Amino acid sequence: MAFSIDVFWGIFWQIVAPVAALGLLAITIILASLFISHNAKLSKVRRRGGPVHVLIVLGSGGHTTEMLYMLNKTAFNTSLWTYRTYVTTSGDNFSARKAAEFEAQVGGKATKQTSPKEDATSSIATHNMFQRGSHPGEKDEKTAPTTKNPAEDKFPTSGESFRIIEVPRARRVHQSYLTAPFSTLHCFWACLLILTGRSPSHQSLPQTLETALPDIIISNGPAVAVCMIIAAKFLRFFIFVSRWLTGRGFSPEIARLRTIYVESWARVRHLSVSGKLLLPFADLFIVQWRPLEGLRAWWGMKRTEHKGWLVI
Amino acid sequence: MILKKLCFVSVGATASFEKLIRQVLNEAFLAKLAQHKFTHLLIQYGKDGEALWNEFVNDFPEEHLHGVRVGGFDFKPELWPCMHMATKTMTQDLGIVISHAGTGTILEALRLALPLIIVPNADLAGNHQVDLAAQMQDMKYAIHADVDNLLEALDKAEAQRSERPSRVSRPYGHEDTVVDPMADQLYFVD
Repeated sequence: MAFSIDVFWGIFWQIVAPVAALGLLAITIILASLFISHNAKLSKVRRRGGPVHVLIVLGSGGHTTEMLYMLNKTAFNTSLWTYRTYVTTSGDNFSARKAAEFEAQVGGKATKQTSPKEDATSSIATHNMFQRGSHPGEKDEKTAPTTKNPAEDKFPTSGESFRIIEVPRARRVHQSYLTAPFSTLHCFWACLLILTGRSPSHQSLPQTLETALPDIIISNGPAVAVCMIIAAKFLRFFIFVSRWLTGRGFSPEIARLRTIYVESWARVRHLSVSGKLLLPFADLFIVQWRPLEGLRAWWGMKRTEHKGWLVI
Repeated sequence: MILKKLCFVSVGATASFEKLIRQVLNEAFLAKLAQHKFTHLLIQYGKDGEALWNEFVNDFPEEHLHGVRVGGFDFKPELWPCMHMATKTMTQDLGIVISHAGTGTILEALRLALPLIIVPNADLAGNHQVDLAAQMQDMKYAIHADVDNLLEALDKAEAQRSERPSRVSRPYGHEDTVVDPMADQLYFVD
């Protein structure tokens, strides 16, 4: 009997206790750094007129449409936001195409960008969607604004002042929860590579940018946003620690990798899952309804801010 | 000349909503539309709605039913041209949009100031859609309906047309953008 208790204590002191202590230390460091990050006072050292690299996380159809609408609500200023990186999830051609169209429009290179509202296809009289006789789907494609013409499937994924990059999905629809942690890690890794300019599909950034690190990251809710914002905070933690270790201390530094999360307009009373996860991470958490204003992850952390309706 | 008047129904792309399609591809609903002087019904029925649509086309091969012309399609990446067909013009009366509570259709209906009926899909877990539908009803932008009371909802929507805000009023009083708070995060020299 005494022998087995000895074995138990042996295992406890040699394995369980150190692992628990390390785990506790890690959690303390994570919570403390999130707390410090949310309460840090940043110095205003960035000069106006310099290059600004913004990373825009796009998601599925709805998220992408809302994001691009928000950015272009008052004409998007390319002389302030001088370089744009768009991140889409793999296989989401719609978002990538939308980003390319957006770039063509804000870059002034649009071929025939008439206001979509004035398009002739949008009156009942001229529409043939009500015709019968053949399969309706086939008829639609001839008049639909986005035709299945292969030539139109091609769009630029990079340009002088933008690039469009894919990341693997964090979790596919109906994917098992057993394998989901691995694909989430895969996504997280891809996000780290993009943020540090090491992604395989990386196009060379313009010389005017001092670093591959984006100045600002904006997102409105797809799963990949969670990976991207946590990856940005993770990088900032390492930059902070390495500055401290190399004795550069806490001298004023240009704010980079700032993260903004915009909760969906559809969320009136309850935050989305992405929102709840990102509450302690995002530097600015914007909500569009009053009942969600002033929420925070825990005591001492930043509160959500209400900025009105951004998508209308 | 009779003004054309469209009822556009959207069930979205991600989930099937057969109950709603059944409710609108229905003689009683079409008779109700005709009663309110609608001339066209357009249905975005989604992937799983194809069978119901084909069944309807077989049952009623003629183009008009109760004087209402019915069209349908599975999905398009952009639905705004369909929504725009419900706006008021020289030849068209202001129509109506019936939406499955998808954010995209609700926002577009608000932007175009279209009458709107929101029918959240009860089979889906997303109770935030019910929150949004209730909120839209409180603000008089929409009627919050159920698949089973669609006819009453249409009556209500038609009766309340005049009370509806003709454009988006800003509940918080100003023009809001995301780019200003974004610029704040860059910490420029004052």
